[in-house]
Amino acid sequence: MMTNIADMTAVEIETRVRDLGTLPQAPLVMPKQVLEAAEPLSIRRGLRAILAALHLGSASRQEM
Amino acid sequence: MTTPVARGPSAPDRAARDRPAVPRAVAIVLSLVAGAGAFMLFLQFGASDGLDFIDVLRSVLILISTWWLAWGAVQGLLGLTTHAAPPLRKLDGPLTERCVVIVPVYNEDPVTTFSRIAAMDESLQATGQGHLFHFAILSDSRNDAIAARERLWFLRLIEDRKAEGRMFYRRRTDNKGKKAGNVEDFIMKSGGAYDLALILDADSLMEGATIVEMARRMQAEPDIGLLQTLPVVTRAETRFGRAMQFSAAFHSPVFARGLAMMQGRTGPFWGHNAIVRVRAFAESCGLPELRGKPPFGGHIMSHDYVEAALLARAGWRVRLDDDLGGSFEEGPENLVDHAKRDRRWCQGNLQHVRLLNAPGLKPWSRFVFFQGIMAYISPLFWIGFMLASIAAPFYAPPPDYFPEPYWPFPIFPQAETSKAIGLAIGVFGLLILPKFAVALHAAMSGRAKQFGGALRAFASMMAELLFSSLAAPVLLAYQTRSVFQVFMGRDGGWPTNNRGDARLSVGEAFAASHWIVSTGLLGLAITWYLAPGLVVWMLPVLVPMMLAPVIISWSSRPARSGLFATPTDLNEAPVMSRQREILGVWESEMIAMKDVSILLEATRASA
Repeated sequence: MMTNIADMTAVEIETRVRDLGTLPQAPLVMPKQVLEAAEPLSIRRGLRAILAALHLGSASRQEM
Repeated sequence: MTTPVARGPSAPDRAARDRPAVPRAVAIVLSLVAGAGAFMLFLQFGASDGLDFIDVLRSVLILISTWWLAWGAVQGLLGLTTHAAPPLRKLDGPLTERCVVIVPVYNEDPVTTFSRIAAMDESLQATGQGHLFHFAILSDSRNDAIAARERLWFLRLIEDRKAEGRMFYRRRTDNKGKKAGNVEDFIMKSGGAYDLALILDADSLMEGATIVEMARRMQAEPDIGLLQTLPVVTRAETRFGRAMQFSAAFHSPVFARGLAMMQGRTGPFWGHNAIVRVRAFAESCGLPELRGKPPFGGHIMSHDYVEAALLARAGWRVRLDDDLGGSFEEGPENLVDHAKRDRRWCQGNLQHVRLLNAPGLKPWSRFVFFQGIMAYISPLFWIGFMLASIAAPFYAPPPDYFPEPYWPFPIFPQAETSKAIGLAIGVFGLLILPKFAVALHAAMSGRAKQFGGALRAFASMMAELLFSSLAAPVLLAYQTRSVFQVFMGRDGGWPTNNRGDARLSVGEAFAASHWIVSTGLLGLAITWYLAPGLVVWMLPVLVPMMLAPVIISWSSRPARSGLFATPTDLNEAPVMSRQREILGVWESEMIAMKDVSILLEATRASA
């Protein structure tokens, strides 16, 4: 077999690899994940979140 | 030889891994205390001649830097409090889940890479479970000559291993998404045929028994989405490579155990030598392209960290099983190759800034991103501290020897130099204490025998400490440049890993590091002119920078001493020996295989 491989041209090798090496067809869905928040991270937003967590932020306006 | 599964105490150690709150709290508190202590000491030192803005700035920079060093040190010390242990739950009954071993390749030498696959397959077949495992070689090679050789040697591999229907090869027409895209492409087209996928790198090598044990653990615990092994760096030949290999083998297992204690269900994925549950991976790990252009936008470079975070977000468990032996990889052989790889990792880690706020991630996953970012930007804090120290004399107020009105005698400022020296010793201690603790532990526990005995292991550790101290400023210079390049928007691309001859002449090393030499000389001149008192303190950083070409060239030469012996040197794993034999046979038959003529034919065709 080794001699056979050695005797093959590059095209023949390519064909043989396609015959032998083709992956099984068994598709799976791979949905794209959401990684970026709608609002990008900013220092101001981060600080505001920390202040809010510490109850130090200004209260949101309420309707009278 | 490292056994596939560690023996020894199991239940308490292993159960402790599932309760990360205490180790996390200990690490956070201790590192913050160290940082705060350094801050206070430096503030007192700075205030000795009157407190000014620059003193506060330097104290804050010291706080951040010391906290970061202490965080690493605590991780190592935590690792000493436990043992590598197998999981509590074991699979009752036979292994039935089907597994594919994925080998992504990108312009690698196929003879070497495929000889590893042959050795792993042989090792797998010897377990009696080989029928459950397939191999998929996923080529992203852009070089047609290399791709032609891949096809040739794939046929040889199939023939040698009688692997028709068990081993597959495909080459993508484009490189969309790079390695992550390559794996994703496979999962989307063929993933449904398998329950599990072992993801490797081209230089990965694993014992069949280890692979089977990983699959058994995955089957035994269906909530695990990913199981990561701790790969051991092997086959280093240069001084640099062997020092890194020794350090990784000697220290990394302890640090990894410390990490494992803190991570709980949110373990790491290092991109290779790890097994994933295909369904979990497909459902959770489809990576989007980030808005904007590289380096911060585009495809995600350090995809592995993100995939681990996404699996955890979806409720899957990600676990590092550091008790598993028989997992190997190879590392860069010289400082320049290390810096090239680090450039890629730097860009990948800094890109995670965009993901810190990603919706739904576990807090620990966000912290892991933060750690990765800190690993690259921490030198900036030290550099900022050094620059601020050079500038400090210009901000210091003139000394006031008569601060008390109506008091006729001068009052001299209290000397606080001892505090600065104490702080320097403390910082140095944080760097070396964990290493000495690991050495002591290795000597007492008998682990040092695997490194040639306690004396040899200690000598190796000291030599590695000396070398890494000399190399650190050079590495930090490269790292800092990488950070600035990324911040300036320069994309590092996807360079092929250099796995060939690593030796560099002084001329080649100078070409790669002349800017470090210039920076070192300039730094010395500026310090001498502006703050001559600091020159002595700056020399440990500036001298290695000025000698960078010599350090790079010297360390790229073959190591001949008996130092840096590792367990795999003294007792090679069977799969490593077998791979070496197969590679020897294949290399001797390259002419008979017409490997060279195929290469020429392909080169002509692509010209």
